[in-house]
Parts: sequence; C-alpha cells; structure tokens
Amino acid sequence: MGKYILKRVLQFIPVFLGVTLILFALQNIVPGDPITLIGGDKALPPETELQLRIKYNLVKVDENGNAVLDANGDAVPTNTWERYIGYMGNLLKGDLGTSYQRKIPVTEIFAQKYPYTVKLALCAIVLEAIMGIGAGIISAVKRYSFWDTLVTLTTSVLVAVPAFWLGMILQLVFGVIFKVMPISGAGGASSQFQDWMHYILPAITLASVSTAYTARIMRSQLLDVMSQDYIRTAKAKGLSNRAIIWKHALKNALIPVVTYIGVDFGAMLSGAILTETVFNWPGVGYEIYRAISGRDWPIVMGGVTLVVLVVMVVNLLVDVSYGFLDPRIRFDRSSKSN
Amino acid sequence: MAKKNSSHVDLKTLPVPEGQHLLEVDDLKMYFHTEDGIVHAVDGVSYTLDRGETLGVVGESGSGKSVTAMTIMGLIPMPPGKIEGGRVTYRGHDLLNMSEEEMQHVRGNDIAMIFQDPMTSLNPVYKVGKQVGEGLRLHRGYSKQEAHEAAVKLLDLVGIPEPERRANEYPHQFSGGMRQRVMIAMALACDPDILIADEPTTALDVTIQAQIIELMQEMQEKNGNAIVMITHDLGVVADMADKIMVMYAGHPVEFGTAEEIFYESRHPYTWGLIRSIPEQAIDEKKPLTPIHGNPPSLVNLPKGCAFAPRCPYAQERCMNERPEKHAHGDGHYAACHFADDDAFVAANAPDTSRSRGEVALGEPVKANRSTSEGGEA
Repeated sequence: MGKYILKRVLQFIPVFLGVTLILFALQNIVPGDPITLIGGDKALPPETELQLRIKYNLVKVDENGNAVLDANGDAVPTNTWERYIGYMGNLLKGDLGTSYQRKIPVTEIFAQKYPYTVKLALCAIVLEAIMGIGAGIISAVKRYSFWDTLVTLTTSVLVAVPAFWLGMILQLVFGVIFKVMPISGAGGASSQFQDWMHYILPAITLASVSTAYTARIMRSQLLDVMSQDYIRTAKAKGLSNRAIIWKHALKNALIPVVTYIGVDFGAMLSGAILTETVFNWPGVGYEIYRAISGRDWPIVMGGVTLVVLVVMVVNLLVDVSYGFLDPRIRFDRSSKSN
Repeated sequence: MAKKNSSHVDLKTLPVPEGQHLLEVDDLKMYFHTEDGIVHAVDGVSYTLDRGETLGVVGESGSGKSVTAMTIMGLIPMPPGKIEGGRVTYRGHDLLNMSEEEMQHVRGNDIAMIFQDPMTSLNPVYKVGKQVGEGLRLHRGYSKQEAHEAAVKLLDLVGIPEPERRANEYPHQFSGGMRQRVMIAMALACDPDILIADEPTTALDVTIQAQIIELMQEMQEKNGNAIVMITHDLGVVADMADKIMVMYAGHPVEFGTAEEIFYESRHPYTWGLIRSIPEQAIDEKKPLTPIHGNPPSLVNLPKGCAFAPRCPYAQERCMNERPEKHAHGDGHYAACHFADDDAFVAANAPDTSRSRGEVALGEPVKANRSTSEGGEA
C-alpha cells in the first residue's frame, strides 16, 4: 500500500507541472491586459502603470530596479519561461504571489476563502450520500413500486435542471416568498444557528445533480448485484431478504457509488462557481471566477494550483478506499491462485 | 451453541413418518408466466429420496432440472414462477406451503445447495471462512469465534491445504476447484439431510471434476446425507447415482436405478444421452453420436411427444399423442409409446443395453458397470 501511495504521489509531479504550464501559457493567449484592468474605466498614469508592471515582474528590470527600455522607449516584457520558473521557485517556498487588484498575498485570500468552500462541500456531500444512497436503496428494493417511480422521476428532473436555476428558485421560494431562509452569503452574524441556516440552500443546490446521479447509480448497482450468483448462494444458506441486502448486496453495490461520491467531492472542493455565484458565497469558486474576469492572474494561478492539488489528493484517497471495500483491488498484496 | 430461535424445531431431527421417504416430490409443476406465454418449465416431476441415496437428474439445458431443485428450495421468484400443482414433502412436512420464514430454517440447514459456477457463487468482498461459517451463525447461533473455528475444520475436511490461512483469504485468491470445495464445505456446514448439487462440475477442468465428485461421495459416506446431482452429462452420474431421472422439456422421460438407465433403458432420448458420453468413443469404431436439433420451446410444446421432432424413430403417433409412463419393474418407467415394444428396444438401444441381448455381453463397457456398482451405497 505504501509503495502504491508513493507511486501515486510521484505521479502528481508531472500533472502539476503540466497544469501550471498550460495556465501560464493561457495568460499570454487570453485577451485583456491585467494592469490596464486595474484602472477600470480610467486609464492609469503611464508612470504608475510601469511601476505596477515592475512590481509584478511583467517587464525586465536592471540592477537598479528600473525598467529596461527598448529602442522605442517601451518597456521590454519579461520572458514567459523566466516568469514561470520564478513562479515555481516561489511556489516551492509557499509563496503564490500577490493579487494584482487586491494587493494582498494570494495565500492569504485562499486561507480565508477555502474554509467556506470546504464547509459547503461537506454539507453537500453528506446530503448527497444520505439522500442519494437512501433513495437508490429504496428504489431498488421496492422496484416498480410507487417509491421507485417517484425516485426515478425526481432524479430525472434533478439531472435536467441547471444548478443555478434551482438555486434561484429556492431563493425565491424560501427566501423571498416564505422568508424562512437567508439567500445570500455565508452568515457571520448574530448566532451559530443563523450561520448554519445559510448553508442549507447552497448545499441543496450544490448537491442536487449529484444526488440524482448517486441515487441512479445506487439503484442500478443494487439491482445488478441482487441478480448475482452469490446472492442466490446467500439465499440458499437460509438468510432472510433483509440480511441478504444489508450484508451481501450492499457492500458490493456501494463500490462504484463510493467512487462517484469521492470524485464528486473532489469536484465540489474545487469550488462550485455557479452555486457560489448565485448565493454570493465567499468560496474559492466565486473568487476564481471574479479573478478570471479581472485577469487577476496570481489569484487564478494560485487558485487553480490549489484546486489541482486538492483534486489529486482526494482522488488518491478514493482509490485507496477501494481497497477497503473491494479486496480484489488491494494494491500490493499478491492475489495468487493455486 | 444455543439455538438462536429456541421455539423453532430443526426438521432434520424429526423422524421420517412411517411409510414415507425423506423427500417426496409428487407430480410437481412449476410454470413461468411471461409476456411470451406460459413456460412449462417443470411439468409433472416425481421422485423419492432417502438418506444415503444419490439421485442423478440428467437432461439438456432448459429441461427443467435446475428449476425442479430451485422449486424444492423455494428459490424461484414468484411471480413470474407459479406452482401449478404437485407436492414436495420433506420428513412429512409440505415444503411448498411453508412460510418464507419457515423455509429460511430449512434452507442451508436441512437442505443445502451448491451451484454450477464456483467463480461467481461466492461473495467477492467477504473472507472465505466467514462465508463458510455464516450458516452456522444463522442456524446454530454460533459466535463469530465458534463459526470461524468450525469453518477452518470444514475447509480442512474438504481438502483445502492450510485451512487456517485460507479461511482468512478472499474468493479471488482461490482457484475454481478450490472454490467448489469451499462451496461444498459451506453447504455441508450445518450437516444437512439433503445436498442438492446443480451441475457442480460443469465449470471445472476435467481433472478437477473427478476430485469434486469423489469429495461429495466421501462426505456422503461420512454424513449419510442424500444427494441430488443435477447434470447434463450422464457420464458424471454414472458411478455415483443410485437412481437416475432423465428429463426432457420439463418432463421426466425415464426414471430408474443407475443399472436400469445404463443397461436397460427404454427411451430413445436416454439412448441418445448414452451415445454422447465421450467414454464410448475411446473405441474408435464407435463414434460419438450427437442428438441432432434443439430442445423445443417450453412455451409452445408440441402436442405429441416433446422429443418426437428430434427422435430418429418418431412415427405419426408420436407427433399427435403424448406418451404415458410405461412401467418396467419396480419404479423403472419410460415415457415412450414404444417402451413396451421389446423388439423395438432390442433393435435400437445402444450397445451397453442388455435389452439388445447377447451383443452387449463381454464388451469392454463391462468396466463401466463395475464402477457403477461401486458407487452404490
């Protein structure tokens, strides 16, 4: 197992280098100059603009800290490669650079934003696991019953409805019409209870589509497992239907469901841009979205870098968890047949 | 080791009522109601079985041999299945009218079953020892520890080397033959009265097949249980069965002792099966003779004899009239219009059959017969 994990961690390196390299290349392709955008509608004074470019290492400087000018008197942009190497050097030291627009270190921004995304993702994943697995089991066990039809119909609708639309409808119904739930932000006010109220609607919105998929995967897996030979063996042993489902079928049927939920959790941790935007949620998804609009590259780079790391780690954990659920894929124990 | 449910009485501890057999199947009919029509999967099967006896049930795929066994075990989902008639009594108790809860006490405890494919019949996510001991925990209320110890002993009994270590391994770490041994250990865990084996050797290598059959016989000698051996290969039951039932299209076409089926058979389908035993082809002069064609659809059975379309001796009458069972001595019967016609039988039965007269005597097939006798308990 240790060997397997080490191998997987080493595989992070090329993925990581590839992703950061592509992002860096994209900065040069995407239209819009970040420094010009800082000024908004008004043009910055040329001197200020040059100072900013020097500060963010966008133009070459001489040993005195002055910009190197070419024959036309324009500043010479720094080489993308040089900036990339410089960025990676800083990254190893834990420095993600400074936001162009907000003038504070990127690490500080994400240290503040990430907890909100993680908390929202946790709420959503718990909801998804309980509701999805529960509905899937009921649906499979009571196949073709009223409950099965209800689950099948509901999941079809949930899969088809876009998350942002569902979010807005929830805001309208629970926030505007019935006025029972907050519709914006993550709270931070009077009481713990009121803070928690802020999580309900975004979590439902974020979990909706994946809950529907979880229920469908659970249903089809359980039905598939129930028709396996080893279920017949268990029945021939004299086990009751309940024992067969809970002891023999569920553990087998859960393997693909856990995979799906795990990968989905990784996706949620990378920030749900739509949900966070609809609910004004102070998480990483919304932050990265705003940074892209403003060409605030240090935030985009830092955010995506973090997200890539988190997704890779979560995927590794999901893969390792297979081993506990399914003995056939335990990694370094040799499965020798005699 | 106290019983989990003390109010429940193990049926296998009760005596067989006077004048009855351990297991009696009487005119059992199991039909499946499907969109295409009614499938007559089992249509009038009868047999009796006593402790220590082995019944071979032989027939092609779809002849109803597995469905008969699954019906007795109550493993057929109903619907689509429906019992249309007949009785199954075990030690005088009607199995077909038992509640699901009562049947759960019978399954694995009084009557156990092993299946065709050992590769898929074990749960891949549980350790082998746990699966073997599960029945003991259920039926005898063993603790985890007791069940594990018993499982190790059972694995040792069925010839699995290093049972202590193997009990803690998963099914994928076992070969096919070893898994079938595990299945046998699992089935025999609660010391059942009857072991139903549904094609237990079909998925195994030929060399392993003999070992598994030997193991089942050995266990039978030790425990005295009855065996119902379901197979499509008459050769498999040749040296182990006391009685053989030949099934075709849901009907029993011939029933008798192993002796009678091999040497005095009177049904053309049985002859076809005998002629397709590979051992007969060792002598190159006797080629392997297949039965041509396929079994009929069980939805639209021919109105005459179900075997008639494939029978080389079929006549006008066979196409129109369903044959009755013709008895030949105690218990032996064949469902063929010409079963009573000695001249017909003598002319067409395979060389093994004594019905052919002196032709068969002194032939090398004699060797086959001695093994058959050896198998009788």
